[in-house]
Amino acid sequence: MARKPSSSRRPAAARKTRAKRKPGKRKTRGRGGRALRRLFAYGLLGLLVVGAGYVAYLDFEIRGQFEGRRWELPARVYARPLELYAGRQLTADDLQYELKLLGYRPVRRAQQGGTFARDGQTLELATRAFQFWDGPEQARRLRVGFSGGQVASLADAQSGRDVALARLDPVLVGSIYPAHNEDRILVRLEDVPETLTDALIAVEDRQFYDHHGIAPSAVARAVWANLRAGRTVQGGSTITQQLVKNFFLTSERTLRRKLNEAVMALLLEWHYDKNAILEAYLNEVYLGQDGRRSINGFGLASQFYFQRPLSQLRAHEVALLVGMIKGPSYYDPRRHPERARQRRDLVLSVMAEQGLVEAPAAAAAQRQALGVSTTPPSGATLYPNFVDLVRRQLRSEYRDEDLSSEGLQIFTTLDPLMQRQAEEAVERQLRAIEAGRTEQKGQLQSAVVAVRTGSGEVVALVGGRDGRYAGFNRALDAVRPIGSLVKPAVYLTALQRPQHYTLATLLDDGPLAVRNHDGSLWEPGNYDHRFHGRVPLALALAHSYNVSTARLGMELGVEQVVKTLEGLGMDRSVKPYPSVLLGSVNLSPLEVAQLYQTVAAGGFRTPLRSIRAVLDAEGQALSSYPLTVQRAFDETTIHLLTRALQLAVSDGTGAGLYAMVSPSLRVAGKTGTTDDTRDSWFAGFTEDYLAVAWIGRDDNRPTGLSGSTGALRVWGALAAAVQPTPLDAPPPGGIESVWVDPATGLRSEEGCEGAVRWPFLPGSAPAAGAECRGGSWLQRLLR
Amino acid sequence: MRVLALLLSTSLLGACAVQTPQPRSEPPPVVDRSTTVDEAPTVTARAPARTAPAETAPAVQGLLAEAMGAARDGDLRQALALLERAQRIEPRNPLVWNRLALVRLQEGDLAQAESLALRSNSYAAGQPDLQVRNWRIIADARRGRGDDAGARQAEGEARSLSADR
Repeated sequence: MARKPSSSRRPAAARKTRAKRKPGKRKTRGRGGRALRRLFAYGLLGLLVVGAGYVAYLDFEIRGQFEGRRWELPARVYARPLELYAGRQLTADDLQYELKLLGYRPVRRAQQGGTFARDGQTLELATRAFQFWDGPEQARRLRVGFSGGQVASLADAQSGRDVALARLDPVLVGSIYPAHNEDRILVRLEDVPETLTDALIAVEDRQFYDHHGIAPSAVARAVWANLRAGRTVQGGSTITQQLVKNFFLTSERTLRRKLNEAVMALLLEWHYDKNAILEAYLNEVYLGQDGRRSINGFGLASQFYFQRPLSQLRAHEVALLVGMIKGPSYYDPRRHPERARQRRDLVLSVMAEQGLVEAPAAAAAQRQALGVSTTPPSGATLYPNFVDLVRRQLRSEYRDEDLSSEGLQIFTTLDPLMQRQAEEAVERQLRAIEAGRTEQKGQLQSAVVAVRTGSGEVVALVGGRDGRYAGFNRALDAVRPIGSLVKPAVYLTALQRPQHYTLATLLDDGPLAVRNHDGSLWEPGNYDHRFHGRVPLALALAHSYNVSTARLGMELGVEQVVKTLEGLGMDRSVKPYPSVLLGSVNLSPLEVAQLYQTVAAGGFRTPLRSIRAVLDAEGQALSSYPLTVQRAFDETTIHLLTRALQLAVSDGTGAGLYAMVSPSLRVAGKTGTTDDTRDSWFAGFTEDYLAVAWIGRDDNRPTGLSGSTGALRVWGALAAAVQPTPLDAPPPGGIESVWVDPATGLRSEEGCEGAVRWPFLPGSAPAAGAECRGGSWLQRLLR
Repeated sequence: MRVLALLLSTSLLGACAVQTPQPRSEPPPVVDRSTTVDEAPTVTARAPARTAPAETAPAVQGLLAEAMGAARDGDLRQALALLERAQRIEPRNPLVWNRLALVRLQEGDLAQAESLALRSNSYAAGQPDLQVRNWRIIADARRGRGDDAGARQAEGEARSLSADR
C-alpha cells in the first residue's frame, strides 16, 4: 500500500469545533425581543472567544507533545563489546554466556543474525551489524574454535578463511530513564516493515490516509455497536486520536476527554503530514508493562517480546504486536498465550482478507508458535552499581534531563564476564565465611572493584552482596580506613631514595613511642603483639609489621608519605598525622583501586575510566575518553615495590592466597585490617588485572575478619575464576638481581641457606658478603 | 604551530608513515629535519620501516595499520580509538604505545606524547630501534613545551642508543 502524504491542510479543525460549540439551532422565544437577542449575541461572541482560546490552548498542548515528547529517549548504556581473535583467553562457555546476554538464539545452523550453534568446543555464530563509535562492524558468520581456555581459531564460517579480529555487538546493560519511566527504541518510518504499517492500518484505522483526524463513519459504527451491546465493545478512534490519547496517558472516558481528543486529532492533522503522525504513533503506542517501566513503541516491543529488531520480524510476529494494541495486558503473550494467539490469528485473517499476505502464507503463519522469548530482557539494569559509576562520571558533563531524554549511547568498559565472576566471588565467599559464624549471618557486606591495569578501565564493580539491586554502592560510597593498604606508599617513599633504602635494608621493629601534636603518646604495636627486631625492608612490608613501618614513615616524614599517596592518585586532602602511616586514611574501594592502579601500571598514573565514548542518538560522537597516562614514579622503583608485594603474597600476610590460585600467578598484593577488624581489605594485581576487595558491616561493627581471612578470599575466588595473566614480565632495564641473606641484609650467594634473589637499582645492592650458611652451590658441589 | 610542525616532522621521520593533518591556514608540516618550515609542504609517506615485531598478533597488526591510516587522514580520534583497541589486546606491546604517543604528538598533546613514549620504552627492553624512536618523540615533545635541556637529554639518549648498535 502506498503511503499518501496528507493533502489536506485546511483549518478544518477550528471551523468544525466552532460549529460544534455554536448553539445556533435554538429559536428565540417570546417578546423579550431585542434585549434578549443582544444578550444572546454577546453570549455567542463570548463563547466564540472562549472556544477559540480553548482551541488555541489545545493546539499549544498537542504541538508541544508532538514536537517535544516524541523524541524523548532514555540513554542506552552498553558493556564493552567482546573482541574475538585467535589466542584470546576465553572459554566456549564464556562466549555462550555473552551470547545469552545478547539474546542470540541457539539454532542448528547459524545463518540469521543473532543466532549461534554450538558443537562441543566449536561455536558457529551469525553476528549482528553494529555501529560503534569507531566505525561500523559488519554482520558476519564466524566459526570459533576453543582449546585450553583460549580461542584457538577464528574463521569465516562460509569461506573457512582465517579472521584476524571480529567484535560482537555490545550487551545493553541498562538505560537511564526519564522520570516517568517510559522506555522506547525509536524507529524511523522507512525502517519499519511495510507489513507492519499495512497491518496496523488494516486493523486499527482503514481510512487513515483519507480522514482528517477523526472518522465520523467509524464513530457512528462504534456507537451503533456499543448501543446494541449495551456496553463499550468497539472504539471508533483513528490512529491520530489514539496517538493523542497515548500522549496524555489517561484512560478517562468522559465526553469532555473524547471531545478534547477529537479536537487535538484534527489539530495534529492540520499541522503534520500523515507519515509524521504514523511514525510518531509507531514510537508512542503503549505495548506492555515491565514492572515500573512501560513498553512504548514497536521498536522496543520487538526487543521486549522477541529480542530482535523490528526489521527482522516475520508476519506472525508482526501480527501479534499489531493485535496487542487493543489491550497490551489482556493480550499479553507471556501471561495469556491463548488469548494472544487468537488475537494474532484474527489479525492474520484480516491481513489475508486485505491482500497484505497470501492466504496460504497467512494460514502457515497461523500455525506458527507465538515465538515470544520466555523471559523479557530486563529493562532494569543488571548492573546498577556500575551504571551508578557511569552516571556519576557523566553528571559532570551532562545535565540529568539530557542523560534521560536525548537517546545518548554510552559505551562503557564493563566486562559482563568479569562482573559475573566478581558477583559470584562475593556471594559465595561471604556465605562460606558466615557459615562458621552465626552472629554475622547476613550482616557482612562486601565491595569489589576490578580494573584493567594497562588502561585503567573499570571492568567490574560490585557494590554489595546483592549486586543486582541498586542501593548503597559500597564500591563508591563505603569510605573506610584503609589500614595496611597504605603501607606500600610508605615503602615507595623509602625506595625512591636508593642511596638509603633498598629491599634488603634492615629496619628496626623494636618498641616505638611518638609524641603527637597534642602531647599524647602514640605507641604502635604489631598485629601479633610482638616486636621483630631488625627486619629487611621487603619483609617488613610483606609481613605488614606496624612498628617498623611507623618508624620508617617517621624517618621519611609523614608529609612525604602523603605526597606519595597523592602521586599514586589520591584525591583527598589528608592531614599528615603519624596515624596515617598505619592507615587511618579513609578511602572508598574505588579510590584504593586508583592508588594500586598506579603501582600495577609501572608507576604510570591513569585515571580510572568507566566510559569509552558517548554518542548522540544519530551516532555522532559527543565525547570520548581517551587513555591518558602520566609518569608518577620511576618504573624501576615501582618494580622493587612490586617485588615486595609479591613477597607479601608468597611469604607474608597474603600467603593464604596460594591455596586458592596457582603460585605461578606471582600476584603482588597487600592485606589490610583496621581496628577491631572492622574492615577487611585485599588489593592485588597480576599482569593484566587489578582488583580491590573489601568486607565489612554497614553498621561498622567488628567482623572478626582480618584482610587475609576475609577480603583475600573474595579476591582469590575472583582470580581463580578469571585466570589472569601471571605477573612475570621481565624487569625494566636498569635493574640488577642480587642474592642476599635476608637475616643480615648482606650480599649472599645462590645455594647459601636462606639466600634470596632480590632486585636492586644499579649500585644500591649490598656490597659486603654474609657468611654463607650451608655453603654456596660451588662449595657443596666440591664437598 | 611552526615549531610543532617541525617537531612533528622529526618524530615522524623515525616512525614511519604518519602524516600530519593539514591545517587550513597554517603551512602544513614538513617531513625532513633538514628542510625548513617555509618550504613546500609535501608530506612524504615513508615505507613503514622496522615494522611490528614478530610477536605482534595479526589482530593488532591490522588495527595498527588502520589506525595509522586514520592518522594520515587526520582523523585522530579514530586513530586513538583503534590504538586503544590494540592496547587492550596486547597491553604490553611497546609498538602500540609508541603509536599512541605519535598520534598524541600529531594532535599537539605534548605531555601525553611524552608520557606515552616513556610508557612504550618501559616495555621496549631489547628493542633499541623503538627506544630511539620513543626518545625522539620525547625530545620533540619537550622542545615543544620549551624544555630545551630536557629535549637535549632525550636526544642524547637516542644518540647513545643508536651508537650502541
